[in-house]
Amino acid sequence: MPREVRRRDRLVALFALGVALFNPPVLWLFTGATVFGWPLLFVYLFCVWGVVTALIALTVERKGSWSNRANVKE
Amino acid sequence: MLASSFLLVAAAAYMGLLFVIATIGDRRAVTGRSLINSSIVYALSLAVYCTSWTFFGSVGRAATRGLDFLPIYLGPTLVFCLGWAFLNRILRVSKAHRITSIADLLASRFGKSGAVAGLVTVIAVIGSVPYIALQLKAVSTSLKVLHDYQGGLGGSGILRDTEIWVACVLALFAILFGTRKIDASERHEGIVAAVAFESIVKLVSFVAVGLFAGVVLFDGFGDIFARASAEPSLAQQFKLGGPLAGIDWITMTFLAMAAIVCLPRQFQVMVVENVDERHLDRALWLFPAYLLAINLFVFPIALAALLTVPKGTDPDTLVLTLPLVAGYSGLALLAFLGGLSAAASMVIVETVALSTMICNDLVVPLLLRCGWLGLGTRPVLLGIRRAAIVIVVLLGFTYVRLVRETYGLVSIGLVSFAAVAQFFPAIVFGLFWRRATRAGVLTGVSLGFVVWAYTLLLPSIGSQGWLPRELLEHGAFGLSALRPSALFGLDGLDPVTHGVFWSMLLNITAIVGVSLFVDQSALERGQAALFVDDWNGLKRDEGRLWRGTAQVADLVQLVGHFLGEARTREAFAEEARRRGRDPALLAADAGTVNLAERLLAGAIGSASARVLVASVAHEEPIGAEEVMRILDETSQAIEYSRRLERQSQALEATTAELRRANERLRELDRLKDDFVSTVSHELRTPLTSIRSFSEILLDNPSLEEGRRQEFLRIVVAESERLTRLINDMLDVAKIQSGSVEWHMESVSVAAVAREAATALGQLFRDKNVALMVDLPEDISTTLADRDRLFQVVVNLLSNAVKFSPKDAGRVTLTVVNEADGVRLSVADNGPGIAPAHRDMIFERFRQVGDMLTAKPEGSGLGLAISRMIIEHFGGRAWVEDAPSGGAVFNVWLPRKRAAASAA
Amino acid sequence: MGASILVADDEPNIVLSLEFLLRQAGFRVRTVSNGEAALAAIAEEPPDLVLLDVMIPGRDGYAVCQEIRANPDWHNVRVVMLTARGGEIQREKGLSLGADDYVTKPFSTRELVERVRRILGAARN
Repeated sequence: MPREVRRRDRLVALFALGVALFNPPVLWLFTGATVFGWPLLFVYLFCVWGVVTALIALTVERKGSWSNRANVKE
Repeated sequence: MLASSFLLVAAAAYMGLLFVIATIGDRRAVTGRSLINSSIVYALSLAVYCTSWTFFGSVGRAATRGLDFLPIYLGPTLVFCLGWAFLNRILRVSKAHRITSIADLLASRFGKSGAVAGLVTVIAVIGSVPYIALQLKAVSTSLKVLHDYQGGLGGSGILRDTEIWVACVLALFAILFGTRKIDASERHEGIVAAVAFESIVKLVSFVAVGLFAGVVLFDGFGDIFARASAEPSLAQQFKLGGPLAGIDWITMTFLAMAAIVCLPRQFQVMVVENVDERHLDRALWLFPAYLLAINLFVFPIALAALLTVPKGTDPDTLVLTLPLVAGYSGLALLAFLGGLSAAASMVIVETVALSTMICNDLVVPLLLRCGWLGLGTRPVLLGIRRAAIVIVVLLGFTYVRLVRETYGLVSIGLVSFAAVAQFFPAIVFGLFWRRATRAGVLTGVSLGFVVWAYTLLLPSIGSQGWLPRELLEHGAFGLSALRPSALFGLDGLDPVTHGVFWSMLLNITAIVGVSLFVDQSALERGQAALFVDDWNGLKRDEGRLWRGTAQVADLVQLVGHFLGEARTREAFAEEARRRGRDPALLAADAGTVNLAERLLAGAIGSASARVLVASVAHEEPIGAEEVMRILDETSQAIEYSRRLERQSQALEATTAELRRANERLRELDRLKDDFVSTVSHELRTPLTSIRSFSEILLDNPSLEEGRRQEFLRIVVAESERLTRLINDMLDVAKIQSGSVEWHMESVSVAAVAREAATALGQLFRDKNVALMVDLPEDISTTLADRDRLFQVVVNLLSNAVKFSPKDAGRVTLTVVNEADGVRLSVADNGPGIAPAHRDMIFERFRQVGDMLTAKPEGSGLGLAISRMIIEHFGGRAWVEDAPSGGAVFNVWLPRKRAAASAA
Repeated sequence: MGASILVADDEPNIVLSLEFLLRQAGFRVRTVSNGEAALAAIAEEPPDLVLLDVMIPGRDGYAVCQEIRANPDWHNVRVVMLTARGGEIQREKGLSLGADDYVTKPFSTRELVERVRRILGAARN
């Protein structure tokens, strides 16, 4: 079932994107400034974090589990 | 501010509640209505990751360094993106091989190596002790804060040494719910239930404090940020520092990514305690969401506390002091319980996981090696584990006492992270790179650990003043290149970043380098294939290469020592059912040996299980070449075709043999047909004459007397011929079937010859053939049937008469002594016999003569019968040319032995 | 004038009986006792019919029969084979070689004469 494989690969890509977004030098782009009085870095990190988490949820909560896919042994 | 008695009651009550939850969890597990069979509970149990370090330490770190507490939680979030590509694989492969710990996973992957298991265990224990100490310290500190704040009820002796009490309670909990039984699955549902509950308490209490800070103390979070930004010292926390801070950030992200997989307690809850693989799916986002939620208020709380709490307060206690300062002691108590939960769940799960590793990967192999592991093993195993829990907790306690107040919570935690992170390259290479070898992993992990100890552990202990300051400040042997904080001159980095860099560099380089230059053993190669290529565990029975001898009874007995007789029998019966076989007939093959190993692995780890099973299953070593041969299916096909070829060759040989046999049979059949046809001819010929003349006589009553007489004479003569023929044929048949009664006696050949000559005298006279007899007096006797010998001589003489010319015929009968026998010859002066026919003449119905002359009389069986008789006497019969031109028929008979005559 | 018959057999008593029977039936009879003699007698004066024993010495009955059929001059010579060997194979072989009939010994004298008459009658018509 390539459907789950594609979703797994999207998650891997999300990991790669996350590594880039959660670390310097990208983080340096958001340091120091504030948005509506809130620290921009704080807002940025939690927003990206929320989005990443939501994307994981959207991907894995769709019908068809990776575990079921490979769960052919029993 | 809070009465110490009240505090103790609250803490005790809370711990009591945890005991109840754990008890219910265990009970439900027994009855099959699992409390933890849910993806939400699973995700909450994963939150054991958030310890008091998170609860108190994050705020402390945020208060001093801003947002750089976050990588510790962003790393796991990133790893969970790899849930399907990586975590699921660990889960699947661990379940397939009944992995019980991180040490077991690596040992199993690298050829069920006891060395790997031991090394990993030692590192895990050493790395975890500071971390456990950190939890104990956090609890005691928080108790102290609650008690001491604003003078309160100071001086109570009980509260002065709280660490020991905390340690005792947590150890008791771990022993009660972590070592209740030895089980192949190694699951502790009670503990998981309690941990999940504690995770809720952690989150709720922390969020409560956060909301309190934002809503009650300040006018919303924006207010906190606004007021913080007004203070230059606090506004600094909004920023991420320069390149060095960036490198620290990246290092921490990496450490957290490694830790979420490698920490013994994380492996315990994520892999070992996992009830259903599918729970991981929802946990993939629930756990990051939990991390996000619990971290959301860290920064605001820190800022709020810094704005509220007097300067000089221990940053790691801000979560407690913030409500206390505001006068909300109830909230402070809730925060205390949250922190207690965080610490308790970590200590319990960590000690249980470590006790399994210590028992399975250190003590049991040692006992096995010394041969001390005998009957009644289960209580021994449980004892070892309980002792291990106590020892680990005690080590933590000792560490707290010895290493005081030097590092913050987070720093201690990071040192631990760096220790277990040494396993990370081994796991990743182990699961994705088949060529990764045991030697490489042993080298890499050892090197990494040594560097970790030197750069991170040593300074943390050394700062206590037990080590020469020279070592820390100037490096070993005074070499500045060996300074623990600036190895090889790499100065200026955060100690953790520095240590992680060097240890990881050496670790990874050694694994890759050594693996590229050292070959794998056969077992290693087999395990590597199972972990890298067949991580689904699809071929776990068939894939394992095993050759040797084993008795199922031995296996059952062995496993029974550890898991109990009934459970073991049940497992083997299940295996038999799976294969559709009678349990009694279950063969001890690779499958059952693997089953035994898997069951044992669940109890004592794969490396020890292998040693134990090998003790009853006498496994023969499988050479590398053989492994390749077995793995390579084409060679198997070649083997088949070779065998087929050999078989077809054998078949061809058999076919040729059969063909020959068939030809012989057909030849015999043809000969039989010929014989039947000949007999038929010989019988029909006289019958034809008899019938014809009989009918002529019948049809012609008026036939003249002369003719009538002539015809009747013919009928009589042909009848006689027929009779002779039938008699001869019966004779042949009787001799051939062996039903003739032979009256063997001592016979004088000369006497018999004389008798026969006398008897046939009239025949010779009738045909006017001369018969000369030459019989010397001293002729030896022979052993024969007298009548039969007589028959032979008569036959030879009458033959001679038959072929001798009328009136001019001359037949000579001679008997002479020879070396060891007697020869009788009958010579005639007839036409003789061509050399080509001389053998044939003794065959049945062969009459050789001048073909153009009329047929001679006789059945054609006489000579055949004669030869048979002579051969029965042990003699020979043959024909040769006579000097006179005719034929000489010879008979040779053996002389009767003296001994025989005496007897 | 009766038809001429050549009897070829090596059993003197059988020859004697056949000679008597056939003479009595009004045929002219000559007798020979081997294959070569039979062919010589046929060449000398082709008979209307040859009673030919299969197992005569020299050239056997089959060979003689073949020889007769191979010679166009002897087209009108009928051949009746006599044999003491039973079996269908011998019968088939004789007939396939061009024999007009095939009689197994021992035979009924009346039937033999009847057959000879019939064959000769059929040939005449």
